[in-house]
Amino acid sequence: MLLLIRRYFLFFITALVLTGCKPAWQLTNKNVTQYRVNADSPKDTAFTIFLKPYYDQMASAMNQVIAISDVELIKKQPSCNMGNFFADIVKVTAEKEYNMPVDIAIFNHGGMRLTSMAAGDVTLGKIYELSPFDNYIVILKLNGKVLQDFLTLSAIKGGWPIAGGSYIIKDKKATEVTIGGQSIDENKIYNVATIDYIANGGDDANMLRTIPQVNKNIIMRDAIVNYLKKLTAGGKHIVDIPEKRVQYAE
Amino acid sequence: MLNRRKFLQQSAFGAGSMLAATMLPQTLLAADSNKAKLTILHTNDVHSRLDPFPMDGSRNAGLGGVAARAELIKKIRSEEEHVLLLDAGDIFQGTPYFNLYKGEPEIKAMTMMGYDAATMGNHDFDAGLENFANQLQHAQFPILMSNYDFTHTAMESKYVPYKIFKKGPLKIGVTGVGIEMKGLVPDNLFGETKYLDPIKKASATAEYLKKNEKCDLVICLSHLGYKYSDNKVSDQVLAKESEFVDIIIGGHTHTFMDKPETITNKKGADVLINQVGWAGIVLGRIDIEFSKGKKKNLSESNTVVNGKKTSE
Repeated sequence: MLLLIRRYFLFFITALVLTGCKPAWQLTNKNVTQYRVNADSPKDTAFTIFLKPYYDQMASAMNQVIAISDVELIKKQPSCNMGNFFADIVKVTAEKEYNMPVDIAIFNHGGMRLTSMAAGDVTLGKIYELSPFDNYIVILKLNGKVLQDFLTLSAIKGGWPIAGGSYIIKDKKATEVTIGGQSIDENKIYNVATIDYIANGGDDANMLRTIPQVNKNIIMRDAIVNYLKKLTAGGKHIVDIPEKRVQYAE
Repeated sequence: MLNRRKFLQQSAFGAGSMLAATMLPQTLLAADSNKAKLTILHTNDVHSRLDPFPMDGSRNAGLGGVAARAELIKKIRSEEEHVLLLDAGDIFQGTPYFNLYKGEPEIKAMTMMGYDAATMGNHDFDAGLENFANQLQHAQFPILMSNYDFTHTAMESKYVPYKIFKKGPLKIGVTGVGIEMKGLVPDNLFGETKYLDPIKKASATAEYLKKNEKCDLVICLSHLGYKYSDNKVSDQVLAKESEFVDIIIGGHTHTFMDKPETITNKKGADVLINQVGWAGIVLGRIDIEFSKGKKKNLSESNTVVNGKKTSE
């Protein structure tokens, strides 16, 4: 038996040598490490020096405090106090700027780019981080059927910030939809405030692509900044709106 | 009789491979030339997070930042001979730095850190495709992309489908794939860019890297996203359906994976997927050991988390 092994092995070696083929590199082991970059991690000062001129110019514009928040705003699906607060601002701004009643304001969850905004001072820079895109607030006139499809898309996506309406996510649909406290009516025309990114079919909102937009080039971030500045001027703070406007069916 | 023959075959095989493993080094190869190691460092979706999150009491306060990441990378480079530093896209957008400077400090910082390659994400188009192309004048690393056709756009000469890195005795092929932009990126921002099937393009590129260029390992930088509840193409789908790709470094979904996922592709080979959240909160590291001749299952490994896990 030993002879047999030896013969087999010799044959293997001979074959290798004769063909002149080098054995290939094989992946034999792996080790995975995740380094969490914390506040107390040592820093390379070359980068601090490199960033300073960029930072200084940015800070002079961005570090001004424009509002005070009484709560931590948290971004969470299907519904959250961050989404409620900013959807309310979009609705109020749209009503004022377009001078018409707005039935519902809704935009994509991914449009909010901070997972959390701490209580306390809110800087202009923080609002740039929350809403970095130059998205415009637009008005769409949607019949109840298209609005239902649009809300169902937002339900499939896990629930979006909404003001003026509510729904329950069930079987990948927006169900029990209410607009201004009333059940949605397929034949009614609704004034819907959203952002041009979504109105142009972004985040798979294909049902909106062909619908005409009323657009006065009001950037959503500017609307938020102006609203917050007025709030502060009136001695008011950002408050908690914990209302569950979008929920999953039990 | 049949059993005995089967037993003989099995023992011959077992003993043969054992002998091969122990005798090959002495007989054919120099003492340590049968082993090699590669250290892959990676980030994704850093989103213009040049400074750490501010110490304002929010959940990510103090996390991330290029100065701390650079120091960590420098330390690892001083300890390891063969390091590749890679990024899976969405370099841009998310802090006022981007609104003011359109990506210049982000690209310059990556060059200073010595990134070897990156792919692009949907947000790298946010100030327009021309802007991304323009900011790449500050990049001393290639942008890898196999499934966007940039013909007749400003990006036409600013990217390559793959790059081969020679690390000691190893040849490492790296390619990149991007997500479909229609419906995700405003039409006017990506212009005439054509989206091609990422599975086909990644497989074809990887096959070329393995067969023609004789690469020992193929890494695909991906901005497809880790996984979706519907059948949208993702890193999981790419791993399953592709051929010749060994490691997928992912992004887009901002997924903090506890450990990499190993998926068997249609040829029965292991494919490793890893993604490290976003904002540079985590630097990922995968050390791969190579040996000549003997093969081990890539799925066996341990994961170490360095640094206290706070929030994300």
